[in-house]
Amino acid sequence: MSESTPAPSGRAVWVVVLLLFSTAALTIPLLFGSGPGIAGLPGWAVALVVLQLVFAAAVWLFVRSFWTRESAAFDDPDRDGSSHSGPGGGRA
Amino acid sequence: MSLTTIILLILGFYLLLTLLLGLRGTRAGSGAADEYFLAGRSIGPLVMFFTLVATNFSAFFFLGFAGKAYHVGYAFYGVMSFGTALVAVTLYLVGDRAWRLGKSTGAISPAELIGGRLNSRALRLLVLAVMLIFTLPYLALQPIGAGLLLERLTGIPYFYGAAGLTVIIVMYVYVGGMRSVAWTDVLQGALMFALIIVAVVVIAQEFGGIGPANEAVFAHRPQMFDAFGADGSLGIERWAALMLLWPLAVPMFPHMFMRFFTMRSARSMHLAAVSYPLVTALLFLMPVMIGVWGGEIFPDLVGKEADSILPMMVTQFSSDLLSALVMVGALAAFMSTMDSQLLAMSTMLTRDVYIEHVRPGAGMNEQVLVGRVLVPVLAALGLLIAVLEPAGIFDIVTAAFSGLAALFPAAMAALYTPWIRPGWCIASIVAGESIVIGHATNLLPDAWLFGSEPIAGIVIAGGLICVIGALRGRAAGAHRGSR
Repeated sequence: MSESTPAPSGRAVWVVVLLLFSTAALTIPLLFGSGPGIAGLPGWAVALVVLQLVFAAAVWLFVRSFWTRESAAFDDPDRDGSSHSGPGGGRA
Repeated sequence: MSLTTIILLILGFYLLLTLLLGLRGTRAGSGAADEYFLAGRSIGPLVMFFTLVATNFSAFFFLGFAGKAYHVGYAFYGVMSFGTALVAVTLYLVGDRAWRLGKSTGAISPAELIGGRLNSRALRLLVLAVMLIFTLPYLALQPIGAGLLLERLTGIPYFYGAAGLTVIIVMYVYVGGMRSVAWTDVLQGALMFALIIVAVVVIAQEFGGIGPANEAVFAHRPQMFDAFGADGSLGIERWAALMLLWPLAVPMFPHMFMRFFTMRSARSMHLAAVSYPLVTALLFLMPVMIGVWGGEIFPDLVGKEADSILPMMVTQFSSDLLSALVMVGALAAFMSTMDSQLLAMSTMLTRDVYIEHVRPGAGMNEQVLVGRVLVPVLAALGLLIAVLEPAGIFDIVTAAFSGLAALFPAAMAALYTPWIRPGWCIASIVAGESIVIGHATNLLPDAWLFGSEPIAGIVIAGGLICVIGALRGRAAGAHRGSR
């Protein structure tokens, strides 16, 4: 089996997601103030909590779409006709 | 009944429960190497989540977070939380891939997979050496912390407390291996999370709620709310550096990497990936809040004294029973990291040294026996280091995250581009570790490293070497499939 076959993996999706969320996280301390917000927490901390909850939702969407499909293909190779291809490639 | 007696009773009950749970692991085992070192590659989603977080979050989560927040304020939440949430990404990029390759090749240790992937004994030895160098002092740190905590709480002399906990850990790791470690992680992880939430609720009540507690702090010390730290020490470049450091370093700890091999199916990591950002978003706030509030009650703590702020606050505001329970949570955090480190190092020495260099033909039973014998040996070594506290041990621990992150580019290259020549991966690791050493010894100025952390330099230098190596390898037709 060739190693060079690029799968339509979630890696490209992750690069975009990662850049978006990392940029957002780094702008939070610059954009949000330090005054008490929800539950008396600093405004930037509340924003960071919200961003992580949104990130968790993004991970969940990723798991439901890309990762579950890849996992199913690996766990049950006959299901989609492919064999044990990991994220972005084949096996050793 | 005194607080000490209550703590001892609850501690005794907890340790007995841990031991029984750990020893139960052996009955499910078959005695094969896969079973002992990797729980038969049969860990499901819920146990995988708990074993990852309990292993990842050492006592530093429980005590250190509060201690740091006491000094720098809420900014500590900022630099710790989102970067750790990004571990969800590396669970996919490294964990999922490592599991698949581990399953198809039969690899048991991280160095075995990475070195074996490129068919290089030198690379395997180098990965092993880096992992051991940065994990052994970390292992010694656990009995040091646990012994000090026990001494402060119960009066049990430091060495006896550290040795007692170590003996219990050795017993269940020796007998049950990874299955025991994973099952006790469930108990220890659940205890950590439940007790930190209870501690926040109880302490907040004394201030009239979480909102009034924060408003009281803001009224007296508004600098504790500054996003860049009360003392300005956590600037945006530190945010960026630590956001990069955690997701790259965490999967390179051998006790975390080995978790990837233990999954029952490819789906076993999905729950952990989704849960990581939830845990960091909400639970990381808890000890930080206690640390920030602690300054209102105990305003004069200096340096490391603040690491006791969480137990001090709990003791101040709650019943003896709850105080004792929270302390058990802290001990659970120590134990869940130490047992995993012991097993990971025993596994690596068995597979990467004994089988590779001493007795290549050793059978499965012999491997398990060697692994078991190494558990008490390594535990004794950790205790010895804890007692002697040799010069430089804390410097190595401080550099551990950067030192292990230096493996990341090479590990990714080995996992995804098997046509790369191993020399490029070795060069990448050597370059990364040189930067770590240069930073630790102040030979490399911060300006050369794009900030006060060496991680950016590691990623740029190590990553560039691997990218060039992968491109050259592909161009030269060094792809293993074409050879």
